[in-house]
Amino acid sequence: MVLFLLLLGLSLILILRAIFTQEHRQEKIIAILKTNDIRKEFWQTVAQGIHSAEKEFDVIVDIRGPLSETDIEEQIELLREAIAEKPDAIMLAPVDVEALVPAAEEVKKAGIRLIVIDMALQAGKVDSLVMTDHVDAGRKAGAVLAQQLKPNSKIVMMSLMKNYQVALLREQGVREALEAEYPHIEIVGSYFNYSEEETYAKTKVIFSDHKDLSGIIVMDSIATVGVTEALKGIELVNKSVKLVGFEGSINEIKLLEEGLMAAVVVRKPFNLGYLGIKAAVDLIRNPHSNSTVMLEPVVITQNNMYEPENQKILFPFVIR
Amino acid sequence: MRMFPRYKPIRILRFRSIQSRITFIISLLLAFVLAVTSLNSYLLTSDAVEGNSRQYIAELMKQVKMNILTYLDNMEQISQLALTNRDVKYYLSDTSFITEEARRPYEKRISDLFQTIIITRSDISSIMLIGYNGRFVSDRRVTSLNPYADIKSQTWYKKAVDAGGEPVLSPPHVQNIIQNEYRWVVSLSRELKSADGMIGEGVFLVNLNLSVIDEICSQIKLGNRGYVFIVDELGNIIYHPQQQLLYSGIKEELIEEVTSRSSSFITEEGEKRLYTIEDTGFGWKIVSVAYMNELIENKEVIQLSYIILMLISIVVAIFISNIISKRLSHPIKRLQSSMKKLERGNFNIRAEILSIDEIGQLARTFNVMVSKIKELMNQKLKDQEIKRINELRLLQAQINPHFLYNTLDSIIWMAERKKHSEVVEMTASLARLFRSSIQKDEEWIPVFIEREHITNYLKIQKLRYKDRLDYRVEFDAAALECRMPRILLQPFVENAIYHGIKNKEGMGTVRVKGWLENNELIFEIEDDGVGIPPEKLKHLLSSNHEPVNKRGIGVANVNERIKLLYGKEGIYISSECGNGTKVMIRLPIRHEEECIDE
Repeated sequence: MVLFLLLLGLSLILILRAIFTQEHRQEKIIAILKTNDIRKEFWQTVAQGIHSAEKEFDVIVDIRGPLSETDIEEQIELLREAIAEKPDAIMLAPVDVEALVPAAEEVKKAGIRLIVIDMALQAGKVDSLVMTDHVDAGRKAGAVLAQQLKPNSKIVMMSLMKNYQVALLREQGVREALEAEYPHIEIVGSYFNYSEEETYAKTKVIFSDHKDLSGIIVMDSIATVGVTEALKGIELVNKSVKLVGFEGSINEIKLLEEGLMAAVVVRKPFNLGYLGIKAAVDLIRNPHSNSTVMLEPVVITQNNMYEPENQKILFPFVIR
Repeated sequence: MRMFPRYKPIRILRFRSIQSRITFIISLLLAFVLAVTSLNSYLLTSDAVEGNSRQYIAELMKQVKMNILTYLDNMEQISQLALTNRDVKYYLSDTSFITEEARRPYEKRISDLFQTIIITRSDISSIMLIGYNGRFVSDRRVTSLNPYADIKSQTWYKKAVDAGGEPVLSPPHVQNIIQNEYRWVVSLSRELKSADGMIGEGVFLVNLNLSVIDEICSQIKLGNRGYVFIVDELGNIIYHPQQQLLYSGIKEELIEEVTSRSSSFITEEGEKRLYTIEDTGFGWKIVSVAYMNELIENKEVIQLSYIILMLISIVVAIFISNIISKRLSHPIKRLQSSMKKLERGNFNIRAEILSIDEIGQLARTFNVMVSKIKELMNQKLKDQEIKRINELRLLQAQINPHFLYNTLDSIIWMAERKKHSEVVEMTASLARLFRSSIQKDEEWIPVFIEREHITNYLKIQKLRYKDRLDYRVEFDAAALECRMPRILLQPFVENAIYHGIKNKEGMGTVRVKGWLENNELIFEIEDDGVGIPPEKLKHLLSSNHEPVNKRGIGVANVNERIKLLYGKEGIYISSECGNGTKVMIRLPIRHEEECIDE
């Protein structure tokens, strides 16, 4: 009898062990980025961060995304496909903060954890949020520009329509910074254009209207091209006009080296991807660990651009 | 006083059969031995697994080091090549050329050399030669330098100048001196000296693609989560898969620990990890981080298989011990069932002897015992039978109706003759005789009662036979208090009168004597009657002989009684025809306390 009980106990332990080992399966997360275009270094670096977290937390992450950063329809489609696969969590970098709301609701309805990175959705509830503080980026850009300008300088802001939502947030940050710390600097205007060429043309027009303009904040790296091309054409002013941009494209890096740009405010894409997956893993393993993480943007100038940590941000090391 | 309290035997472990006891003990023993050996071998194996993985990682790290060193050595060899190249020397030397035009062929030759190297080596991203005199050659045919990149402020340049001819290695960085090219590289640079070896003339640079190192490090499999990173002697991170996170302070690496140690160590901080450090010898330390639970993952499989193996072994052990105990207890069980039958009263069973071992001997002994018991039982039954008959006879003897009838007849006859005194005497004697015989309904009586009894009997007979019978009763005083079976003497006295004296002419005398001699109580009944013919005497004592006197008790009966009571014969009869008979009864002395009725 005693023996029998002993055996029973042992086999029970055995069964429990078997169950326990079976339970250790890898959680599946589907990450839908703004784009999965391998030429978009920013998103490839986000993917690197995702892979790093994937390895560290021992989960499976499937990275997807539309080819174009503006393809709302495709991203919604991808999101619906992901819901059908019933992963443990979906990480979404929304192409559009409004258009993606209904699809995001569906994720929640399906009982799948939703983590939104890069930009917050306009409405609806998400489990966790990891995003760059675009307002803060705007503030930093405003501050770094204002520091290099004489009092009573005039500046303009140039944006691209496709990056409308982010540009608005950045603009808000710039205005906040200037109103709080540098009230003597005047924002002459804020312009939204549709392309590089349009920006180029617009810049020329603005400069002919406002000859005393001494600072431009360019909200988008594509707009930067148009602006700088225009500035090169207006040779007399190109050195005195301070340019502050965002994102840190190769073009902007060169402009920084050349001294044509005063500063670039950049995000940390690796951290964005890494922290997004970390938040997802936290949520899966502990359902009440909802969090909102704000990533601090970094101001890069000519002087600090080759410092090791900034090199890592500016020059993503992507193996192709 | 006892030193230790005595433990009560464990009550749970009470077994109903020897088989289950044997099964339990053997199983327990086997289980214990199995558990100990399994645990031991598991520990040994898991140690071996851990040791193996440590060794494996150490080997892996050596491999990584070798790989990286190979690349770095190659770079150094390339630099050596440049160093010894005459074109390079001539080109750098300040006094070599007067015109730009004269320089061109040298530039081309050097560039060709560099290009040849680059083509054969995909790991090298660029080779450059920067003269202090402002001359510049690279592996590219048409090189445009980044006008905004200040070569002289670059780390590799400054280091090379400082090192004064020794090759120096710079950590991974983005090279930006070539226009529109931003590549992650590891740089090896060295200063080139003039012919006399005294004055530096320029700096030679070889750039290794960082992807080479990244590939080496990221291809190392250390479980799912393990990784490799590289630090320099100051603790600066050369390479780390999560470098950005470290810079942002999201993650931390045990840099201090790593720089201060030179061998592997295990950290318990957060998750248990194994750090293995491999010093490359030129300042870089390659560090691998392996998560212990992943190394032990293998260990868990081993653990599980050991438990399963042990369980199977225990089940088999129980099965085997069951068989063994069955084998052992089978003959015992058979013997037991035989005994059960015996218990139920079957004395005809015999245990089968299946073996010659202890149990077989036990069975044999059992058989002997059973037959002995059977024999004793039969003996007892027979004895009881005899005793019962004897007692019946004894009762008959006591109230022998013929004797009573004869006596009463004599009394009547005497009464008719008005012999009052004789009637009184006879009646009194008869009364005493009966009283003495009914007085105690016991087997054993004192000798004096028997004497009284026999005296009364003889007195009655004397009154009947008058002058034809004389008697003497002579008992030693010492014998009187001894015990003897009752009505032992009467049959002999009766025989002496009826067979000896009655048939004799004239007066006959009966002598009854009792005395102690040599621890024996001896009675002698002697008559001087006709005696017993020898052929009759021969059969007198044997029990199958019909009693002589059908009314009384035969001599043989008395003999049997003595045998039953004393366990041996005690009657000796000697007779001579015409000269009388002498019966001697020899009994072991018994006192009152020895004569408790059975």
